[in-house]
Amino acid sequence: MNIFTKNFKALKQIVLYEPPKDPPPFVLAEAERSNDTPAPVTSSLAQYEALLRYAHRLADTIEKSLTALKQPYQADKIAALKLEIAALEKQQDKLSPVLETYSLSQSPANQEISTSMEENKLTLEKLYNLPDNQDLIIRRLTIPAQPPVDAALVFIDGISDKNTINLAILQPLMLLGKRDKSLFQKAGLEELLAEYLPGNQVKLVHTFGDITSAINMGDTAILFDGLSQAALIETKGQEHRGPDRPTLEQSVRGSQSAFTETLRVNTGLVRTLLRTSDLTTEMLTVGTRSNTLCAVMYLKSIINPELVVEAKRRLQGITTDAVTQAGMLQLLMMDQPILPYPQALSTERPDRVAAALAEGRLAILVDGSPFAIVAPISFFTLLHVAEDFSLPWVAGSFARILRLLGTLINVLLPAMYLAISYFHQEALPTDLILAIGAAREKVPFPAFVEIASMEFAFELLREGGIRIPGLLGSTIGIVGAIILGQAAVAANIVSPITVVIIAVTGLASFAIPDYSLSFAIRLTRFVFELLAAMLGLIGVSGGIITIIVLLCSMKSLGVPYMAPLAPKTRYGYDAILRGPNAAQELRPDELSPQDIRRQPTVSLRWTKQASGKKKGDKS
Amino acid sequence: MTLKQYTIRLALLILGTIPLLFITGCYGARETDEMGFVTVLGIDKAGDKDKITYQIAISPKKGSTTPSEEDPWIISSFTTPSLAETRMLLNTTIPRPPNLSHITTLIISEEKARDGLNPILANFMRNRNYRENIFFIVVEGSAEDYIKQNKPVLEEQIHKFYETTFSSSNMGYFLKVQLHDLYIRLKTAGGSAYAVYSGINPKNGENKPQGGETPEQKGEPYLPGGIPRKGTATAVDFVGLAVFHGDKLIGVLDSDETRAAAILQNKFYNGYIGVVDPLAPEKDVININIFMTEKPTITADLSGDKPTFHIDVKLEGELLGVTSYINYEAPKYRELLENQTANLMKGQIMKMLKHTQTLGTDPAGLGLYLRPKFSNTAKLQDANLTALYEAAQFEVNVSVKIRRTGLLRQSSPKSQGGTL
Repeated sequence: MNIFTKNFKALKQIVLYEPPKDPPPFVLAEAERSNDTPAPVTSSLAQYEALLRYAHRLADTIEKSLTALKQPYQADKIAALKLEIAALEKQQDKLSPVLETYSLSQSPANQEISTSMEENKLTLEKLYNLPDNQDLIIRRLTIPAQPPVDAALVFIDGISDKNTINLAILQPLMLLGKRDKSLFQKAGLEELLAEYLPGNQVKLVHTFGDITSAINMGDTAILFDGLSQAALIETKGQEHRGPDRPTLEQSVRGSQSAFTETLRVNTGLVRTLLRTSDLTTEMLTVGTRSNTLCAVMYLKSIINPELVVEAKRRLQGITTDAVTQAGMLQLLMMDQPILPYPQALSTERPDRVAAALAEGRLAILVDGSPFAIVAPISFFTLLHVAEDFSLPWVAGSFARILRLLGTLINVLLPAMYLAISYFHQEALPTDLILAIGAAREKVPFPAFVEIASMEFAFELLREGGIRIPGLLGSTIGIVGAIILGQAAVAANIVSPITVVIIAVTGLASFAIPDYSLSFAIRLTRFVFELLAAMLGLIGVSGGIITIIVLLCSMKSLGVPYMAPLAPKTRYGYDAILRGPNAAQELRPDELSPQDIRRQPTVSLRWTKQASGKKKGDKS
Repeated sequence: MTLKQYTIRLALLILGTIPLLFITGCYGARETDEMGFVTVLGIDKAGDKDKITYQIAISPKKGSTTPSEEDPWIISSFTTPSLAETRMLLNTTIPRPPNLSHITTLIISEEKARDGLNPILANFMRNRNYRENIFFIVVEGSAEDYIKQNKPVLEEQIHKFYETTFSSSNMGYFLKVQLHDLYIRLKTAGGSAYAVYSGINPKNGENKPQGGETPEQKGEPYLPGGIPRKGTATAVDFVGLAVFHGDKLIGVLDSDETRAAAILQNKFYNGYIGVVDPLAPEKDVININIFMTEKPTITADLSGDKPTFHIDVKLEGELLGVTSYINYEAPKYRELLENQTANLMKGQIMKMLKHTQTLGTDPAGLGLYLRPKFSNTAKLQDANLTALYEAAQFEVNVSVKIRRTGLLRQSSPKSQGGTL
């Protein structure tokens, strides 16, 4: 190799690119879709494997019988052998080709429990993807009955209570030694459950579907070799957060507890506020894969039964794979999911739920979600807060009017500014129009661009503010709002009046208590701004008419959204204004409750009674 | 309908409607900083044409705290045969299209007003650019000069000057007149049109009273330009009333007569007058704050050819200062003072009525009280209410009650040394 070749090679290495010789990086291959038709079941192999396992078991039993027969006569051993042979016969019945093919074509969850422990274990392994899946624990043990029985405890680590399993299941079962009864006798299992298992909810089941749904909730299943039944013991015990203070719906005078992620804790919180046998909690499961538990709560003697039927019909009619949040479920079951206006109330406060139930509404709680869905509601419910009724009615009404005004300002203020400054200058005092003109003198953009850019900045701040870590949040919020606004004015990008308008609008948007409503109203505002910039007050009034038509046409679980205004119903002094607590005699008319009367006309009977004190009694 | 179809339909709908908004959308949109806001409009007579003067506000400069030396307005005058076309001419001289919706004041020269208001109002009442609450002023001399010389000191912008002036016009020396007031008076039988009368004061301190004061009064009646004053205030005086016969200016009322006209229309709130001391008429004066507590009672009698008006005015007074220190708080002295004041007011009212009768105009609107005397509309339309007013007789009865004596409850005579 001469120096020329060497130099050439070095040069070539520098100039020419050669890909590195690493293994190719992972790229997710595109799945080949075959029009969603399931692949044909290839069950024959599984069928042969099952037969093989049966043959092995048969050979074992024959061997066992031979040794037993060779030895001197032992009644108990012979009895045990008899039972084992009976179990084998049962298994053989199931292995008939027709039945086997049928049960294999079924999903494993629908399979019946087999008498063979090995078969059951294989089924469980298939169901839970063992041994890859480390969550499912199968604990083998021998129950020292007469004869001893192989058993297996099945539970999921992390959602079941280990102490209960140790003390209330394992300990009694393993100390069964002194018992000389046979488990295989008639009602032997029932006796075992009744005498030895101190769990508070115990039941016997026959299919794997029951087993999986129970252990997915945190229960423990016990499988017995030779029995086609399993015992389920309640051992739920997942780690969870306790009820905390409400974060979104804070109140000064209302209760200070909020829902948590555990369904049973949440239903309990509601029940502590409504301690009546009338309060019904129906449990339903939603989501084919998530199997999320939902509770539908209502007061049986008050609510219109059609509402319950409709809510359950909608819940049961949802076919989706996973429901992980209450908000998701709300959108899946609401009347007009395409409109941004919330058609159900999402609340984290048990006291609001209890108040709504007492009015004849129903609540849906979702396991794993600290929010309850209350339906049906009206638009005005979304402007109410929990403590309205803790304040004197004047103060409560004032707060409600303030919120309503805030909502109107939020929708209309920037639009009105645009419409008036573009088309209707005569509607402003001369001083103001001159001031606006002077402020806009150096701004190079049209008023619409000013408003739009400030809106955009504000929305960015709001969206960013949610994700800024808590410690920095307030600082960055102030920096964003003040510095940005100030700098934009100083740089002549926007006029001060625009900053004022956007700031007031932003402030007003925080007066809307409901988060989803606030979102919907912001979206409406953008439409109004566009209409105002294009068509002036004509556009704004057209928008108002459209919104009113839209709101009046909406329904929340079949109940008109704008009730009691449109359609006009009996007014219970609890929509825009609220009357004194003693005057709230009727439940909302639009809900058509079974019992419309909440309290008698004279609810304060003490005002009509003579006080105990006698006249002239000074004590 | 599936969600996909729904979305497509919605998208098509939006795509179809939004361009329509642009096509049919209003092109009248103007940025606020792209308009010249006219705040005052003046009309003069220039031969057989009109001279139109526009006063256009300049927006206050951002950030400037000290008022600039230059006036915050532009003044532009045009001599044209048509008011509407002048806007086009105005647009050729300033870069921004003029916006007339913020005109606060319409100023018309006396000369133009004598020719009649109807041709002017024809423009103003029909066009939606002009508000009906424009203040209406008739000025002595030329409107253009008036606009040029009116430089308010307290207010920066000229529209603010007029707004403030007329929002506090309840002392009676001038009245607030807006375009629709004028229009209503022009179109209604009974009562004549009138306008604010204003003019330039030379500010040389020269006293030019109108004369004709009653023997009981100390102060003198004035017209614009006659008030003896000096100083740095703006040169314009608002005093008096321009009165019309039909739509033509026929004369002017002085300050006392204007107040009398205000009292008869219940547009007078309070005013300060100096009354000649009834017990020491040579040099002493009693200052009284008089105010109206009741609407005047006016009844008309049309049983004969000539109508008779019975006018009953009730006034109250508060003593402001008694230079003679006579105890006018005591009932017997108070009555003297009350009669003196009542005679003063009665004299002024009578003077106004006689003056307007000779002018052939009815600014107090007494003709309105004649209308119920006609049995049907046809008869009312046939009758000439102004002519009836000219021939009318008046029975004026003024009563004054002095109820308040200020902070002193009883006056005691001056001490020997001439001090208190």
